Amino acid sequence: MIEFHKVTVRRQNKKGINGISFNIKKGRFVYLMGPTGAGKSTIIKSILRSVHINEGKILVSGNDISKFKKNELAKYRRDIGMIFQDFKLINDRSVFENIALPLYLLGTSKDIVEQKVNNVLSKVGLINKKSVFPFELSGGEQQKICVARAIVKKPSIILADEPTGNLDPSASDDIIDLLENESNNGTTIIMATHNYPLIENRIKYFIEINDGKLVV
Amino acid sequence: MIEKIKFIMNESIKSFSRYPLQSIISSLTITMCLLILTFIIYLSNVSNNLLDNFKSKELFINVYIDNKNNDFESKEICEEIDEIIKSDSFQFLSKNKVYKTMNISKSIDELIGNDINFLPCLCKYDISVGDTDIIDKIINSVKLNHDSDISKIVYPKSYLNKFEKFISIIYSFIFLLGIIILVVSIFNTSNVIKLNINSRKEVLKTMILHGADDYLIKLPYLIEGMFHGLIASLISSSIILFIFNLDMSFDSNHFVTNSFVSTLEAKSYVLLNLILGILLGYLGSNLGVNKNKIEL
Repeated sequence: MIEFHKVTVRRQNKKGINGISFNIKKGRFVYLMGPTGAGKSTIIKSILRSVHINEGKILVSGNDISKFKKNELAKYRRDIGMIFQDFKLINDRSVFENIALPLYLLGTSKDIVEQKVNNVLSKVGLINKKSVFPFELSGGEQQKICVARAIVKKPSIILADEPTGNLDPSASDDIIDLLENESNNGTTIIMATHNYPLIENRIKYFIEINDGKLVV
Repeated sequence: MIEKIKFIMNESIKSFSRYPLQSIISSLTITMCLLILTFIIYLSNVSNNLLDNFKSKELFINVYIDNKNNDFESKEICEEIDEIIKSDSFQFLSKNKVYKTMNISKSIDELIGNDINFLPCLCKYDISVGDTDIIDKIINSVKLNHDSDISKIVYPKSYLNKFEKFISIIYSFIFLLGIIILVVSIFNTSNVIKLNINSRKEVLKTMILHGADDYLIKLPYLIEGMFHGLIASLISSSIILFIFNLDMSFDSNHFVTNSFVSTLEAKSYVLLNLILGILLGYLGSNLGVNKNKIEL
């Protein structure tokens, strides 16, 4: 599903990744582990193609994403669910509008959008919050909305960059439960975290990196 | 595709409630630009009026009939000449009237007494033709047909030419000013919209990361800019209509004073404002969007 072939990404602060290669099969839940600044976010951003890939190639479903043009990239990103540590929810739009956004970008009709958003809000247990604005929610609730926004379009891949970084242990467990549930339905999930105790009882597959390189 | 069009329209319209301050600032900026441009259009209309009014109200072909003809004969000749000139109206001044228009001192007046037969009668032809070549042809034709009956034909050609040149310089200056203001208006509007986009950069980044196509990012801004232009043109049109309805009648009949009354109707200004407003909004937002590239 996702193949890294000697991928190097250089970033301004000298962080990044250096000649990394790995392979992630479809439907797997893979943890990206390593200390802060190890290059976890760079790998996530490389898969999302929001950073320039200096060397090597990344194949996603057999396509070299480093060669994608603007319109191909937009189409590719529409099949990826993204969860950010800082949520990146749009504060001047209601919870409903935030979750509906990726569906509108796909050109989904209003009735189906309403149905899908309600379903996903029930799934994350926040159906009663659909009219409120993100800034009125707690951190845990905001991250659940972020997960809801990522899963509502049923993407092939979900990328989660430190999704539990700002949450307490209970809220963090809820988020990982939601992601595992999606993984069980066949979605490939890559989650970056430096919080090993949180995942030690759940971990099946992991990639450990340090200083931009794989830890063998 | 229909759903995406609905989304674009929805995003454009909702921006008014999401970003009211930016929308107001953007609309008012365009309003100011439109009012200045309208003033420029008004000035060009005034300069046109000045020339037209000068030609129609201040310029006459004065034909002095030979003094051998009496008043009755002279009037007949004047009517014959008018058939050649085809004037809008003409005024016949008998010898007596001509004498009265002359500022003659009392002593000379006593000397002349009642013997004013040496004076010519005068025919003043009011013509709307402004082209001096055509007027030359008319005068030549009059001379050809009535040479023996005419003492003199007076038409202030050089005066008209100088006035035309003067108005042409003013007109060119106004035109240049209009172009400069239009360009400045576009940049001004684009800068305001650029600031709007800047304040929503995070929203755009989020949309791009979720796979928004380029047109889904740009089109809402372009339509939003056109909406701002429409609102601005409605505001400026209201101000223009208010000014048009003010009672500003002039007592003076002087051609310069009358030239300041716009010959363009209020609806023409409103139409121009609507077109210019939407165009300014579109061009401004287009430039603003292109200047503000967000790449991820």
